[in-house]
Formats: sequence, C-alpha cells, structure tokens
Amino acid sequence: MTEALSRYQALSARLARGGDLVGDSLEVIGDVLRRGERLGSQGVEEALRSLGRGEVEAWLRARSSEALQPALLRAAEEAVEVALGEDAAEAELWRGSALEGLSARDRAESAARAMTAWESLHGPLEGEAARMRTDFLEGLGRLDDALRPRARWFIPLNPQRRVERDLLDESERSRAWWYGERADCDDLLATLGHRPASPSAHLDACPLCREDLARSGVVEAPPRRHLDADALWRFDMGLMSEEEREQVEAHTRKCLDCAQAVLALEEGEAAIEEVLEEDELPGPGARPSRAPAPLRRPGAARHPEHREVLEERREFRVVLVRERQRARLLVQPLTGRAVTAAVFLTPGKPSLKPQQGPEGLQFELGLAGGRAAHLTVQVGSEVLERDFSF
Amino acid sequence: MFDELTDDELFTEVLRRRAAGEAIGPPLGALCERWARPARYVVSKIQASYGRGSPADADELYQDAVGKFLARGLEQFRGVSEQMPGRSASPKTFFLRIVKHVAIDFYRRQREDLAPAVADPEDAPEESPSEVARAVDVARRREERTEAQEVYWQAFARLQREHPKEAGAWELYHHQDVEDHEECARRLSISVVNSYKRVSRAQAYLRLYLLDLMKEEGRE
Repeated sequence: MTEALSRYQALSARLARGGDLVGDSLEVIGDVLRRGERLGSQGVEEALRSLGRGEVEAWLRARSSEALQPALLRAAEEAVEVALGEDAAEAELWRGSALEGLSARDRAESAARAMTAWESLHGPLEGEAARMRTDFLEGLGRLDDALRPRARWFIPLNPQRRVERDLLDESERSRAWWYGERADCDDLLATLGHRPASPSAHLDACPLCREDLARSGVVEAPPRRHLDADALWRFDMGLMSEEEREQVEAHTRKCLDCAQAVLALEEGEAAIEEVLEEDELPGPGARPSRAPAPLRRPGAARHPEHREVLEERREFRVVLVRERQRARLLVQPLTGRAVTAAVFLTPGKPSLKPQQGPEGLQFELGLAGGRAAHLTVQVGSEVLERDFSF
Repeated sequence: MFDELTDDELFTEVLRRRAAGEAIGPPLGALCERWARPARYVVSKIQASYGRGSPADADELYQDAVGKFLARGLEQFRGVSEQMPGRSASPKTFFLRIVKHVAIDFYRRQREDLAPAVADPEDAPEESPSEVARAVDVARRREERTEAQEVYWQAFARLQREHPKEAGAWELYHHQDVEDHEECARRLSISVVNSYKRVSRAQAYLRLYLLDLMKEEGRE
C-alpha cells in the first residue's frame, strides 16, 4: 500500500505545486480525482482551469481505446505466467509487465474522468473533439465488456490489485474491474492446475470460483481422442505408422466404443472374405473374374465344393452345394423381388431354419449321402414344390 | 449391356470412360447393382456386431456407400492400390470395404440414439409420461455433453497454438491414454518433473480457455 500511495501522493503534490503537466495532464488530474478520499483535491481545480481546449483535443487525437485491448490481453497471459512460471525472478518480470497493462487501462479511466470534470468547468467539447471523446468512451465500454469476464486471468496479481482497488474512492471501485473484479479469489488459479483434496474456505464460499470450476470440469476427465472414421479407415487399410497402431491398441484397451469398432472391422472383413470365397467357387452362381485372388487370412483354407443347379427360374435359382460330407441348399433371388423358401427333411416336421447369406437364403442340410428332402419356394404367386436328394 | 463383362472389365470401362471424360454412370451403376447383395450381407454382419439395425438401414447404408464410391472411391482405390498392393485387391473388395466402414460409422454415431431393434412395431410398448421425461432429460444431458466437448476441443486447439509443449504433454497423457508421467517423460524426452509441470500448466490454461470460450459463445 505504501509504495502505491506514495506514487499517487507525489502526483497530488505536483498538482498542488501547479507544476507543468505536459502530455499526461488529464491522466494525472484524473488519478488524483479518483482517489480524492485519500489524497484530497488540492490543486485539482487549478490544474483543470489551466488546461486549454487545444491540450484536451491533442490528448484525444493521440489516444485510442482500441490500442488498450492487445495490451490487456498480453497482460492477462503475463499474469497467469506469474502463477504458473517456475522461476521467481522471471515471475517478477511477468508481474511488472502485467501490472503495467492494468495501469494503462486505469490511466485511460482517469483521463475520461478528468475530461468530464474539465467540460463542467469549460463547457462541452464540440465538433470533431466531441466525436473523438464519444468514440474514446464507447471504445472503453466495448473493451470492458469484452475483458471484464476474463478478470480471473489477473488473479495472480491480486495482492497488487487489492492495494490499487483500496486506494480508489468507493464510488470508483465497481467500474475499475481491472483492479477489483475477482480480487479476492486468490485460491482459484492454483486450483486450476490441480484440484486440492479439500477446497479452501474461499473456494467453498465464492459462487464465482465454484462456477468456474464446475464449468471447466470437463478437463478433469478430458474426452479421449477416439478413432474417427478416417483413422479407422487408415487403420483398416494398413496405412498407419507403427506408432499410430500402438496408440490405437493402447486406446482400444480402455475405450469400449473404439474396441467395438475394431471388432466390427474384423467381423466385416470376415464377411467380405466369405463373399470373395463364394466368388472363387466354380459354379453357376459365380461370375467369371480375371481379378487376382484376394488375400485370405491364414487358416481360412477353403474346402473343395461341388455345386449343382437344381432349378433355375426367372425369379430365382436353387443350388445344391456339397462340401466334404456336408450339404447345403442355396435359394438365390435373381431379381429384386422377395423370395421365401422352406425345406422339409421329414414330412410333418417344421422346415429347416434358413440363414441369410451373401448368395441368398441358405439351408444347412447336414450330412450328405442318399438322403431326400422337400423344397418349397414362393415368389409372389409363383410356387415351386419339388423333392430332391443330397 | 454390361452383363457379359466381368467385374474387373466393367471397372476398367469405368476408368476408361472417366479418363475420356465420358459418363461413367451406366457401367458404375451396373457394377454397384451387381455388388448389392454381398454389400447387404456385409452390412448385416456389422449390424450383428452392433446388435441393432434393420433392412431399411441396410438399404440406406448401401446407397451411402455407392455415393461414397462414386464421389471419391475411384481415386481412393487407386491410392490404396498403389500404397498397399494387395490390400484393396479388387474394385469389389474395395467397394465392400467402403460398405463396411459406412456401416460401422453409422452404428457408432447412432449407438446412443438407437434403442435395440423391435421386431414388430406393434410390439413396441407405449412410453409413459415419466419415461418420456427421462428420455428428454437424457437427450438434454447428451446435448450438453456434446457441446461441452466441442468447446473443449476448441480450447485444446488454442492450447496447441499458444502453448504447444504443454499441449503435447496433455495430448499424450490424456488423449492417448498414457496417463503415466514416467512414460510421458520417456516419449517426450523430458524429465518426469517436467512432464508433471507441463500437464499441470496445460490443465490451467485449458480451464481458462474453456471459460473464455463459454463466455464468447454465450454459454454462461
């Protein structure tokens, strides 16, 4: 408090002496005006009366409220480094620079206050000067709207901010967010990096801090980086680096959703292989293809099959497939129309249960060798009834 | 008119027409028509894997896959064939892989939204008011979670731009599931203490960015 108070007392003394205030007259007058409860008002009116219209207009031409925004944003980053930095000397450098940013905003406020006082003595600014004054004040308003909600960034400067806040007149404090907003929330920033086992009394009691912690709670259990569609494709196509594949493996050990996706990839691949194996079989259902044989997984060896077309109609084809000692019956739709079929091994017993396969309906007939069955196929009103042996 | 051609011949015709600037729709359509049944079979296997889905889904997914194959499949097929000879093997295999991925993507995205399939809509029980309220509440929470995650990724993108070292440590520790400072330190070639500090700094910055973004997007 002493150092800051001494600084303002020195300014007040300059005004009282009636010294030369070239350049920063408005700011110095405003600084003292806004701290009148502590500093008194000696010399203020004289300084305002001696300030000419030309000097006020020159000040307005030289200042821009827009220029304050980058300075304050930089100050915010620097302030956080005060808390997160590792080196104490470095932290002091950040602190000094960040405080200078806040001080720049405060001086602009002082100038605005002094201008109002000057106009009450000299009459309002007119024309271009009045427009510049309005622009300046509106610019400050926009700046405050944008940055006041980010006051938490300045928490690491709180010891100095509280001193500055307390030197201001009571009526000035609520406007001076750069010194007053979140000035008692010291515990918050330390908590942002690590939530303590038990929160401090301030964190328990302060609704703003509680709200900040609650709203940013997602970082305590951050969303994982899941395998998106593109990553899944690259994984499947073997286009990932070894490191990426390791990451996928590590991730799928913990993420059920992505593990399910990788499992579905494998099951889908098995289905594709089934389809391709069917293509390779010589038979009426297989298309001729000069394509190279597709890759097959180890262990997926194919047994020789024998296919016999039992019936071929416009709408469907019936194929008996014998493989080793087993047999199955395929009912292949040849158009888009729905085909239903039933196979009865024993009269009076229910039909075998069909399965939907890549080539159509499929009935597992079991062991082959001199056995007979009855087949029914229906497409619309067309019905096929026949017996067959396998 | 394409019945006599094999798959590969048809595909070659597609590529020839494309190179010549001719319409590729007819031969490509014939190819896709030829592959419709195996495609639906692959979809059915993905549906079985996810324990949900319907024939109507299968039709929609097949159409999506055809669209993708038309839109970028040809170039991608060529790319994969050059990079991974044998992996794409044939246009049909490649198409079926597109089908597989389209289906997986669909069921992953719909996983939380789809209830287990009901065989007959008549059997579906009517929802009571409390069930409806609960469903609305669940949907709202899901939406909020999705929004929170969107903002989170924006915050992380800002961290990557402004504090790349901290973002790298955070990425490894949390997003890539390492969750062990010794392993992070090894991978980043830094000390364990530094790994700890970087992750801690990343967390503080992420919180600040998140809170700023929420304000900017009017979510306060």
